[in-house]
Amino acid sequence: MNKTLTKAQHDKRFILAMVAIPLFVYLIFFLIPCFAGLFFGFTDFGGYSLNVKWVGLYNYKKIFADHAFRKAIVNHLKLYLGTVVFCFPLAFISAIALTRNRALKESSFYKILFFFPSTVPMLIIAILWMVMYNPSFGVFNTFLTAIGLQPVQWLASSKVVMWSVLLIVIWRQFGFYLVYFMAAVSNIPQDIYEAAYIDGASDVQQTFYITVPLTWDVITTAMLFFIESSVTLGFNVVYIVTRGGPDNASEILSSYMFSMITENLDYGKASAVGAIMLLLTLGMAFIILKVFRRESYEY
Amino acid sequence: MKKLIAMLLAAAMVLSLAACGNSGGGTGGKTDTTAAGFKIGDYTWETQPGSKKYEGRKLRILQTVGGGGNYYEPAIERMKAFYPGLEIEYEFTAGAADVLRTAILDGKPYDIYNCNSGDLPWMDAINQGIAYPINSLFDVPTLDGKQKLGDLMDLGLFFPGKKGDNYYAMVDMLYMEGLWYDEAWFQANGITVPTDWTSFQEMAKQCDAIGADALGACGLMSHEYPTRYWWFPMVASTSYDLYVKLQNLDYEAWKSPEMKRVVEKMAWIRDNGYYDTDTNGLGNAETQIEFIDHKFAILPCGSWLEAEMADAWTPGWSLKFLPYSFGDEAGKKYMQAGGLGSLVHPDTKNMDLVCEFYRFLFSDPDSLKGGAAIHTNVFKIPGYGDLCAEYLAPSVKDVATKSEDFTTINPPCCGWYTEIPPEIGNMIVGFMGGDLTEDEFIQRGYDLFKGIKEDSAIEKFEFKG
Repeated sequence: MNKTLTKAQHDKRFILAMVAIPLFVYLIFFLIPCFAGLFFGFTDFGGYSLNVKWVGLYNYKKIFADHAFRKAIVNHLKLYLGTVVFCFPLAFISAIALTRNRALKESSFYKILFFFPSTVPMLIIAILWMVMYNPSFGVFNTFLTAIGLQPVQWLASSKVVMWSVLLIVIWRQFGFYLVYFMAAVSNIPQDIYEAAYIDGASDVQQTFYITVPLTWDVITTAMLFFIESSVTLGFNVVYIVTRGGPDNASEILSSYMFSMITENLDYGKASAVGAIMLLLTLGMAFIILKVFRRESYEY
Repeated sequence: MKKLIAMLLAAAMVLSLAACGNSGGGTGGKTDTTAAGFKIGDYTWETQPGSKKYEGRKLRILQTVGGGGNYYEPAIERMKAFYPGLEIEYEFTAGAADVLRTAILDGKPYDIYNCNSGDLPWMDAINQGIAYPINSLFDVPTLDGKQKLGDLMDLGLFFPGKKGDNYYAMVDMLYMEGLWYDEAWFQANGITVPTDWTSFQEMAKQCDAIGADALGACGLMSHEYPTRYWWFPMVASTSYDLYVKLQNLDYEAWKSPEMKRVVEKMAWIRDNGYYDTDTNGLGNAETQIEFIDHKFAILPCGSWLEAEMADAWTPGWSLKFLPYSFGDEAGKKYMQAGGLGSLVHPDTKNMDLVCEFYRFLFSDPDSLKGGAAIHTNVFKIPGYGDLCAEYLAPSVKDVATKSEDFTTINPPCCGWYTEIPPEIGNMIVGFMGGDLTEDEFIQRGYDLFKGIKEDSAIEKFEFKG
């Protein structure tokens, strides 16, 4: 038997070894907790004892009967769509302005300036905004009062609170997506724009017929990426700034799940909420990939 | 392919459970003093300073960082001084419940643990089998041997940790709960301190006249502050019978005339603009800032307030406590109070040391005084107010001695049924913020209690009043 490995065999073993390590880590730290979470969603797991009882769909029935959960789903979607609708166009337009405006020498400065909030820990940002939203001494109400307007209950009014949360998320994410889109826009060869210019295309036409189509994959990826960000970032903002209140008016799925643990001590229901979030996330990703699928342009 | 996926799923499930499994026993000890096997009567209770009877043994105690501070430490230090060679591993940490969870799932539970009851309600710990009955601890003699620990206890306080005939939670510090105000500000503005609903209404009008609200409560922790320190006491002081019915999930009580009266009181405060609705969106510290700034006159809270805000008062502040006290038809007097408490893990092999710790904590004068100097609050045992008077917070000192005349209560339904405090908190915030009508408030309460009552999967308890 010839024990000498061919190069192909050697390469195959090397690749397998290299894949095995991350696969193992992925299994231990992602797949197993994920499946354990799904399993615990069907139990009365209380967090401290593994003597759990199988309760079937009980947790799911309780969750769907809870009005707070229904609010959380609606708010979760509001947060996602609100950011996509307000933040992405703003970041995209700014990216075009900063990238394509050659007369603007301070483009890098603005890039750093707007990206800065993305580097600050969310806890600090949340506290900063809490202070700004403070009804008594916050900067917003101080300004409104100074110009003779009525102060607003930014966090205490159920009609306003979700907008307040959205504003923080948009402010935090704007810089990140600005830099992300700037990278995409700056990769488009200049000669395409020059050719369009010679053909008489205006700036708006160049944007819609060149920039948008050629960065479409990046935009779609950003929307996919933000599905995950909306869960984690939204949770950080909601948990620190509003705790889902008032009366669940700013509750999103991740904060609802967390309150199931911290206030209800019900890990079983929290796990069930996690499973629903997983399905929702997959569903949103599927829809985005279906709806926004376009032909890719190579350049 | 399907087989492969099925095998992977099965392996993942097994691995996940195995990863969480018990990996070892509890703390070791020379003597068999497991919780189940320990006999109070067989034990020698003489406590001589310098005794080496616990040499080489180790007791593990976990205490959460909360309003009470590390008030176990004086008792621990005294115990170590009495018993050379005894090791006490004392962890005083924030988020003790998380530390405990890891320790238990790792098979290394603490012998004694004290978690914030909001993080780990006693009944939840009992139902998960991580608490051991402490009835036998009541038979342990005090340090001077003249009484038993049970003789010192007000078992009314222990009620929320009782299941069947067994007590599980050792209440080792008392917080009086009620309303707080600035006496100096009241005097300076000629405002009358309220003692009942009528005088509260008068006070609200007086506050309004000088541009202040009557009441405010932390909305970000609505499951606690407005719910436990304002709403339930208001129910009890409006109708003790209604209060008892709510503890027993009598959902029809939500549609009773008594509940209507409670909601009408809330509506009166709200509709006249006497509630600081800003606080609906504020955290605890920000609410306290509004309180310090006299944006509102009365703050519902517990008696940790003084220690929590020790350096935050502006000059001239004079914090005063206004306890809720109410009686039933038989003339029995009650006072709303909450206790910090500890539980004993059933896997402990140091039950004798556990008993010793509580002997020191409750009956050693130096430990009691040392603890009081840290938490500056009350423990409802005879003579405590006098023994520890110099250490008590000024705002609670007067009430500390009076508290011995009252039976202390705390709404047990909040501990038994964890869905209740968050939802009632939400309802209060929604109502006081103007989002709910009186009928909607009542209907949500009715639905909440009916849902719990009719859910056969939730264990029910009985409160006899």
